[in-house]
Amino acid sequence: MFLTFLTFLPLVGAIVLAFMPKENEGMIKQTAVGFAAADFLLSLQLWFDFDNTTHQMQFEYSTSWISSWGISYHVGIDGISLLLFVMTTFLTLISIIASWEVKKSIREYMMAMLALSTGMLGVFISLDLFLFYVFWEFQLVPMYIIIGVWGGPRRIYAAIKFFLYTAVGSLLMLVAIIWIYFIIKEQTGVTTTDLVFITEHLDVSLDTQKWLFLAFFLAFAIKVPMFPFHTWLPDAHVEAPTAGSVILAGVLLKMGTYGFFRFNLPLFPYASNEFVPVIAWLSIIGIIYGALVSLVQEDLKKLVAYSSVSHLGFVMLGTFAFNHYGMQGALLQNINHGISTGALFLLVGMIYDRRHTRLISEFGGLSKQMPKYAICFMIVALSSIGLPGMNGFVGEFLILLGIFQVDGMYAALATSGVIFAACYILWMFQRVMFQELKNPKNMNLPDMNLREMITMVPLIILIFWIGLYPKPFMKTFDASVSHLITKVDPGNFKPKQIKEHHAALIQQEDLALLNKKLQGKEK
Amino acid sequence: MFLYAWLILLLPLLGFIGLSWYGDKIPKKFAGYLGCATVGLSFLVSVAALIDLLALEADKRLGHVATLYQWVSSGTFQLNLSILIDPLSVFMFLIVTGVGFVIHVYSIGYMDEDPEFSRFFSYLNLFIFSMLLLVAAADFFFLIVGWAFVGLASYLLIGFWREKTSAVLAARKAFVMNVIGDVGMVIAAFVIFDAFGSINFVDVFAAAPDKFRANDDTVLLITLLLLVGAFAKSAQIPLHTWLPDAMEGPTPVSALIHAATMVTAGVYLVARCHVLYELAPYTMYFIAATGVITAVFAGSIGMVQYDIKRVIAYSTMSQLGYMFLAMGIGVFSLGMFHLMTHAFFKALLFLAAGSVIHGLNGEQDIRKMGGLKSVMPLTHITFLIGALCLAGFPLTSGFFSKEAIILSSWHAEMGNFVFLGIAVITAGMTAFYIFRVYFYTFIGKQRNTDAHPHESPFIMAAPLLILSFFALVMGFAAPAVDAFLSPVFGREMVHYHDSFLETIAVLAGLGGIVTAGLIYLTSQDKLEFAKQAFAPIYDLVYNKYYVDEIYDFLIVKPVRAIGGFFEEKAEREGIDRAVDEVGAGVRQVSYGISLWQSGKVRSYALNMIVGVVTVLLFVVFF
Repeated sequence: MFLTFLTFLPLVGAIVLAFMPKENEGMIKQTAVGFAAADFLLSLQLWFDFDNTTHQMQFEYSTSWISSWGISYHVGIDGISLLLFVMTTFLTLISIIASWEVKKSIREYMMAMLALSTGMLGVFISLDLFLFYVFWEFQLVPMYIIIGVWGGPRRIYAAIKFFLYTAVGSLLMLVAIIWIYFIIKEQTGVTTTDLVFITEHLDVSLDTQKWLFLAFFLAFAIKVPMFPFHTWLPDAHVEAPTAGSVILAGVLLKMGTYGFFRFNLPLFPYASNEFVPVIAWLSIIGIIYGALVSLVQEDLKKLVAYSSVSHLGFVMLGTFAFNHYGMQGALLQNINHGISTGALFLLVGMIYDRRHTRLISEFGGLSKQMPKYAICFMIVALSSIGLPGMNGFVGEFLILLGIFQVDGMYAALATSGVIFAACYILWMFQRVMFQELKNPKNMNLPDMNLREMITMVPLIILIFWIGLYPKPFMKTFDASVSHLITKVDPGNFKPKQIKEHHAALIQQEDLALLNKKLQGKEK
Repeated sequence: MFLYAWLILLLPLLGFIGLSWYGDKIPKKFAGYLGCATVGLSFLVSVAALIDLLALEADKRLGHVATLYQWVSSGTFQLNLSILIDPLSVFMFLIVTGVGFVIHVYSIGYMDEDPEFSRFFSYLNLFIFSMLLLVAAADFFFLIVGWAFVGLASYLLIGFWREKTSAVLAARKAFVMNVIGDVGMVIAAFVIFDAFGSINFVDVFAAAPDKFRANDDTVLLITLLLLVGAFAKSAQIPLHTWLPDAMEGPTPVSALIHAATMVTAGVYLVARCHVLYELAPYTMYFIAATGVITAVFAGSIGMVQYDIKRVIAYSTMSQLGYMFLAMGIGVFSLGMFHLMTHAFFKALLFLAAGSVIHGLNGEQDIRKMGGLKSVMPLTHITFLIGALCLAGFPLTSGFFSKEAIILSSWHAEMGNFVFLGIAVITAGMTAFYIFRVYFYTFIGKQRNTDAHPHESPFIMAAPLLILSFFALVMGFAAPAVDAFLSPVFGREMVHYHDSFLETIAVLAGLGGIVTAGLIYLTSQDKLEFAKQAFAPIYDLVYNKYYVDEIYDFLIVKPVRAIGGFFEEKAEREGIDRAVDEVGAGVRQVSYGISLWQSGKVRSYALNMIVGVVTVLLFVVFF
């Protein structure tokens, strides 16, 4: 029940806010912060009580929901979702504090933020396909509203684009879910959408796996976003208010990578293996493409948005390495990206609040005017580049190590993304922070205030903590990743090595027979 | 037993953290003293480590690993936070902290008027920490960490004057070049992990000789990938272009980073991994060739530059070329010895040049200097000592170390006539360009009469004197250094004696000095005439063989163009447009469908009838 409580606490907060007088902005903000903070602090309890040694679901709760269809309310977390859950409550808190200066209908804004939080948390705890789908769709609505109402000048276009992209992907996912529902019914006679049960019992041929994989893939790939499904992201980021961007980068994108870990890999391991080259190449293209396009951006937010495309490419690459390093690295990099990119969006938001522009050319020499800001920006920028001692490096290193074991070529190509990252981040940083302060509009910019420091400092602490001592974070993934690898290990799907002199004797028919046998074994 | 050696690293780190947090709040003087003190103490601890190490028997000095805690563990990939103490790392500790300390002291005087004095010292401490981490690392992972930190510190220090665009650009260039190197190293680490199942130095080097035959593909791959890192840090062709630009930083930075320590990281790397390199003679050959080419390439550019710091920067590149030549032909301890003597005399040259620049209020063009001999006597004499060492004048430290490499380039197993020839020619060039600077700067009449040069304060002069002393006498320490390092490299170096070659090398150096004197002490007409006569070659060399322009044309511009192309064509017009078109298409279709729902009962009835008829026909006929 604890999980359920944590998940719905923000929604309760939103409902409480609805009954508050609109005029009392101070109280509204404080209440919102109060709920978010309570949710975050309580969610830490999960981490403390979490048992790192098992891959089993923990804090599980299950009760029948729509019993005639076998739909249950089944929630729980394991190593894959734990940190994502905690990060969601954490970033919600940070974004709410960062939204202090929102002027337009603050009550509704805070309600949307809190409702969004419930939607996202629900996605990470759902262990029932139908329940998952409900949450997956549910979180779209508040995000849509946040972009569409509190966004920039082209907010409507961006919001609709965001909504349509995601909705199209998730429709196919719904079809796949229904398909699975019938397969399970046929195979086991049980009518259920329970994920744990389905993961254990689903047994379909490679062809069916492929189709189902693709349906889920589309939903998640759009969310990640993988090249070429990424074009909603820059628009959404540019138009979204600062907090919206933080949540978008920090949590919403992670729902995509999480989906691969939770659904695609365990449900369709054979198909996942078959698709490794496709996904690896798409990821690599995404890494390089995202970086190259970042290089020429004039708008700070767009630059960060495209850098996300590049960074998430690394996460996908690690996920599909199917070995310990790659997958642990991917899960860690998920968290890292949330922290670093979230921080970058906060920083961009800060100068946007002051200058109401995000064009790089409008700035220059800010470091003298805003020394605290300069230090924070530098730390975050370097963490985004993946400098050792900071969070990004550990994740990237493990991912590259993992993918290197699959194919050295992939790793070699992907590393070019690291070089490009250094180029575009430093170039941007230099143009904004260094050189002479020429623009008179920047002469009197105030440095970061206390509230802004409060949003920034925890992120910076995390950047160094993960960089210097990642073990507490890595530990949580360990058992779940090991278990997942037993399922998706490429060795499971390759014919056993045949000794060379035998191989020469085996005729075409024998091979076919062998294949048949192997496929039988799979079943 | 060497756990205390962590202090060597931690002291500068504490200095960095303390100064960056409280630097603004404490008095300026104190910030400077604090910065020096951490490095000075670190030096003393290094000396203690040296004494402890010497107390052990020679064969027990290797492989002492001091572990703090387990840093990361993922599957079989386990990594401890540990440092390796052996003669090689202690040797580097001593150079880094020793020369580093002297330069810190000098900086108190040099940066005196800078408003961001404490920030400078915090960066310097960060750099010392990073470099120490690099040389102390007990595995490839922390080697890479230190490697990247050094790149960062260098970025911060080159771009220290952050309002100066050229400095900021130079800093970025250095960082990006170094990241290219880092990437090479990271991939190398992956290959090593793949091949050995470990990235600990001790494990890898112990296993390597049994695992691979000479010139095995894997070993070649590993050594070449490591070289990408080494060449990037040590400014060897083709990753050298950042070093001359890095002179945009304050002069102590040039002395510390771009002469004495950071740039030697590549040489250190080859020495550290000598077990692997000895298994890859092809790579060794490649190193030697690159080294010798870089030596002559940089030397030739140095002969025609007018910026005093740039000349010395090119000479650094050129001397690093010598070190790589030594590494490549397998005389590792000679390379390390040259690394040490070079650290002294090059730091000295930079600091003396800094003293000149300081005295002339920031002037760096040697054409506007002259006659400083009488105004800045101490600077003059110390610069002269540095120049003599660099030129390999007999009995100075540079003489011993360079001579040994030149002799080996012929006598060593892999030595050959080409290496020898280029090494000797470069020796001549070296003597020429440094004395060209010397004559321009200190001899003759003062060219710019507006300037009012003055001798530097004691706090800057003292470091010059200390470095001069070591630059003069350390040559005689050659046998001691060799004996100390020999357990690491597993053998004593053969010392070649060949009075003929020695004489030639000395003559090359002296010839360079004399030529410089003849040209720059007599009338300038001949110089102009020579320039005219060799105009095409002169332009080529003066413009640094257009390498920057070539990179710009071949890499920078195309990459940006591709990025722009993607942004323009794929992002705005391609994918986005396609999506919008689909959206518009859907709207069209739904508009078409909505025509059916006209709200007219008559047309609904018609539709119904058509429908019913169709269904009936279908049922009847199929």
